[in-house]
Amino acid sequence: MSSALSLKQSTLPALTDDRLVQEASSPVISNGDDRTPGPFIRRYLAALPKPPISPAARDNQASSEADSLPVNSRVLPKIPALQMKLRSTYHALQEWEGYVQSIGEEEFGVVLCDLTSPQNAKSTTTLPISDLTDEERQALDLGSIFRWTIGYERTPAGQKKRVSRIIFRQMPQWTDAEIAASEDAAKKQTESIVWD
Amino acid sequence: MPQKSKPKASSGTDWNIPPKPDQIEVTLLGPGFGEAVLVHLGSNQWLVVDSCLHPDNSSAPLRYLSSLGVDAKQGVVLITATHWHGDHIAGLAELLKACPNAIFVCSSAMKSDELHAMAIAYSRQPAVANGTGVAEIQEVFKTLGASKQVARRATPSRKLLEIAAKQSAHGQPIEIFSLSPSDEEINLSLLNLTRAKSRNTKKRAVDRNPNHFSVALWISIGDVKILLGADLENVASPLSGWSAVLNEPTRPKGNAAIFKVPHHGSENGYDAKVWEELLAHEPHAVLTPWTLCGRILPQANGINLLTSHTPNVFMTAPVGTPKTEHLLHPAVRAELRDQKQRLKAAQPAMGGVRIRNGGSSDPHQWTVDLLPPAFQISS
Repeated sequence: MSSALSLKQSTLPALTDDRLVQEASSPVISNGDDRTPGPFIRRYLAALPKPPISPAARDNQASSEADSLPVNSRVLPKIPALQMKLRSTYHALQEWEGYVQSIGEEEFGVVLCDLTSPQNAKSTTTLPISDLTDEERQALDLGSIFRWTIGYERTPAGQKKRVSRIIFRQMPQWTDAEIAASEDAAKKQTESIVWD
Repeated sequence: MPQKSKPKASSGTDWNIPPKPDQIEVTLLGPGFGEAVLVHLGSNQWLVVDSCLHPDNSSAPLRYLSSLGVDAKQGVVLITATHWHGDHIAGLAELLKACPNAIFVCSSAMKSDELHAMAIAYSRQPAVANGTGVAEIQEVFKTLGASKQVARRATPSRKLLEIAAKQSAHGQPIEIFSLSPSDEEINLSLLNLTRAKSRNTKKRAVDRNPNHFSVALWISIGDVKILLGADLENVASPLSGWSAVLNEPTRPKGNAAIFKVPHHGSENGYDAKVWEELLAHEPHAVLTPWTLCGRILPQANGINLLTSHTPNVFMTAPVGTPKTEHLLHPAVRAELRDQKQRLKAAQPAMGGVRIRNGGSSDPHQWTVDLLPPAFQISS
C-alpha cells in the first residue's frame, strides 16, 4: 500500500492494493507518461483535501486552472516502481467456467465451458477435492458454479510460476418472493398445456 | 422367429435413401450429446424417441429426417421424451417445434406443479456460461403451451398411439404402448426433484433422478415387435424398473426382434428375464455409448452380457471421447500434465445404426446399415 495514499484511507472510499494496482496498471496511455485514472481513483482524487498553497504561490498562479479541470483529466500520481514490484501479479492463460456434475470421495466431476476460446466445445474432467481450500470445500455441491484459471504468477521476488486456481462463484440466494413467483408461474404453465 | 441380418458399413449415399412405404425402420443416433431413436412405422409415419445434438449443434433426428427427404411436420406422429436427463433431451424443443402435428409423450411427473416450479426457478438464475440446466425443458413446456399439442402421459401398458392397418402400405395395424414408469416411480421422481428453496444458494440444475423413472416403449406392427428400453434399469423394488414391467399383468405380449438396449449397456440396465420373456431369439440389439466426467458405459461386463444372448449387437460409436488438451496453450497443457488431469470432450463422435426390414413381402428379414463410427460388437 502506498503510504501517501493510505493516510486518508479511513475517510475515503475503501482503497485496496488490488484495486489501486488494477486501475493504475491498466490506464489509457494517452501521452507518454500521462495516465487517465479509472472511475475508482477519480472518486478517490475528488475526495482528497486540497494541499495548502501559500499566498505567494497563489499570486503566481495565472488562474485556478487546475481546480477547474474535470477530475478525470488530472494526472494520476505515479506509484513508485519499487512499490509496484512488492506485489504479485497474475496473468491468466486459460479460464473456464464449470459446474459440479458429480462428487466422489476424493474427486468431483465437472463440465467446463471454455471462456478463453468460446468456440471450443465443452469439456469434462475430474478434479481432486484436496486441491480446494477449506472455504471452497464448503461451496462444493452438485450444480455449484466455479471459475478455473491456469496462468502465470510473478512473485515480488521476480519469480515466475504456473498456478491453477479454482474459485467458486458466490451466487445469490433464492428469496421467498422468487420461490412464490415461480410457484405461481408453474400453475399457469401446467394449465396452459393440453394434458391427456 | 429366426432373425437374419446383413450388416454393412454404409456410405453417405446409402444413408440418405428413405425407407419404402411398407418398410419398417429403427434408427439409433448418438451419442453426439445424447441419443435419439427414429422408427418408421410405415407410409411415412415416424416416431421419434428422445433427442440429441449433431456435433454442429443441430437436432440430430431432424437432420436425419431431412437427409431422407422427409417433411418432419407431416411425417412425425409421435415424439417421446423418455426422461429428463441431459443426454436424452438436447434439441427436443427444436424437434417439437418442427413437428406441430405430433403428439408428445412424457412421464406423468411432467404434469406436476412442483416440477414446473423447479424448472421456472432455475431458469431465472443469473447468466452462467454452462446454462441453467433447465433451458431445454422450459422451452419444451413453453412450446407445448403455445402450440396446444397434446402432452400424453406415459403409464404402464398405456396405448399411446393406434393406427389402423389400412393406413399403412404394409397393411398391418400399428400400436405403441408405454411400459413405464410405474406410479411408485412417478412419486419417487417428484421426491427426488432438485427443488429451489428459499435462502439456498442458486446453482445450476443437475440431473438427480435415477434412470428407472424413464419411459420404455413397446411397438407392435403386425407381428413385428420392437422394444425401446430407454434408460430403464433393474432395481431391487418389484414396483420399479424392469421388475415392474415384467410383473405388469396387462403389458402387451410378444417377442421383440429389435431391442434398444437400456442405459447404454450398463449392468444395471440388464435383466435376464427381459431377454427370456420380452425378446425374440437372437434379436438385433442396438446401443449408444455414454461418458461423463471419467465414467464410461458400456463396460466389458455389460457387453459380455449382451453378446451372450445375441451376435447381433451394434453400437453407434466406440466408447470414450477425444481429449481436448491440444486446443490449449502449451503452458496450460503442461500444468494439466503436472496435475495429472485429462480434459475430454463432453460431446463425443456421433454415429448411427439403422435396421430395416424387407417390407410387407419379408417383414422378418432385417438389414443393418452403419453410419461410421458405428460398428458391430463381436462376442
